[in-house]
Amino acid sequence: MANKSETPNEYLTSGEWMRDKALSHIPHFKLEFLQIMLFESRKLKQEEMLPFFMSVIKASREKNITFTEAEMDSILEVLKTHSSPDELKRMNQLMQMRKSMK
Amino acid sequence: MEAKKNEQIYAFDSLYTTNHIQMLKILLPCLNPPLQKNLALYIKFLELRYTILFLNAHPYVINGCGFSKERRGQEIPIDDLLPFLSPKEAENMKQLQKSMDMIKQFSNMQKNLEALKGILPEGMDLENIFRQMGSAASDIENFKHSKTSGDTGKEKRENAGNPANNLMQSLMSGGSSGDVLKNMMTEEQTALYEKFNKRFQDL
Repeated sequence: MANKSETPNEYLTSGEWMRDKALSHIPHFKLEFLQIMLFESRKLKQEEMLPFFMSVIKASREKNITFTEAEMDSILEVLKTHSSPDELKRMNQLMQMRKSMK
Repeated sequence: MEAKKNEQIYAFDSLYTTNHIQMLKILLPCLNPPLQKNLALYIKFLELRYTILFLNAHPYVINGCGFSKERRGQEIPIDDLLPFLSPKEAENMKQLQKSMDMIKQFSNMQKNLEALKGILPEGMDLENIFRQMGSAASDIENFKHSKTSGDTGKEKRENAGNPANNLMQSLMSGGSSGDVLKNMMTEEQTALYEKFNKRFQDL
């Protein structure tokens, strides 16, 4: 997990990343869903995570939100561009793991 | 029973028998009832003997009944099994299917969350969420037990010590899996849940 004491990245937390041209092929509601899930949830406390996550699952079911491999790759590329070195390192490690598991 | 037979059953019955044995089955109702019992036993004996001979003559591994790697991911045809189950068994099987669907949903979410883990907020990981759900489930189970059976403190501690089992029991015990999970939340968490739902509705 990234160092939580760092200043949150304004580009990511404000949702500016969703307007990146590389993501124009992804429906906006999917990106907004990710924005809420990843960044707006950062201020939540531990005990608020269960209702939040339940709600995430409910919304993903009702709105049938799924991401294709291509969509995931595009999103990760954009997020990686604006992540801190520590976050970047972890994301790269996880991407490697994910690819090796396929 | 005949109407319930499906293709897999016909295939199995045809594979492990012979035309001669099938003829005996057709002739069976023509005999006197006392003889029918003996012939029924004889038919089953012939089928068992033929099955043993058949398998000895074809000594390769039969994958159909095992859990080979290729078949491990294969879904169990629960709908085909339902007609053969008692109402109680069918109900349990449906609950199990709901739980399996939910676990699958979690796994799919986890696959995407794993890739994004580096930027997830603190505490936002499935292990942690499951731990919370497990402890909530065990609280509910313990409360139900203490009301209905007046169980001992030892039993309560054992229940509380196995959150995964308690969660599964809660999922199996009735209602939809969504309702069960919702019941695990405190009033504050339920209010938050409704608030988050509204937020997602606006997408």
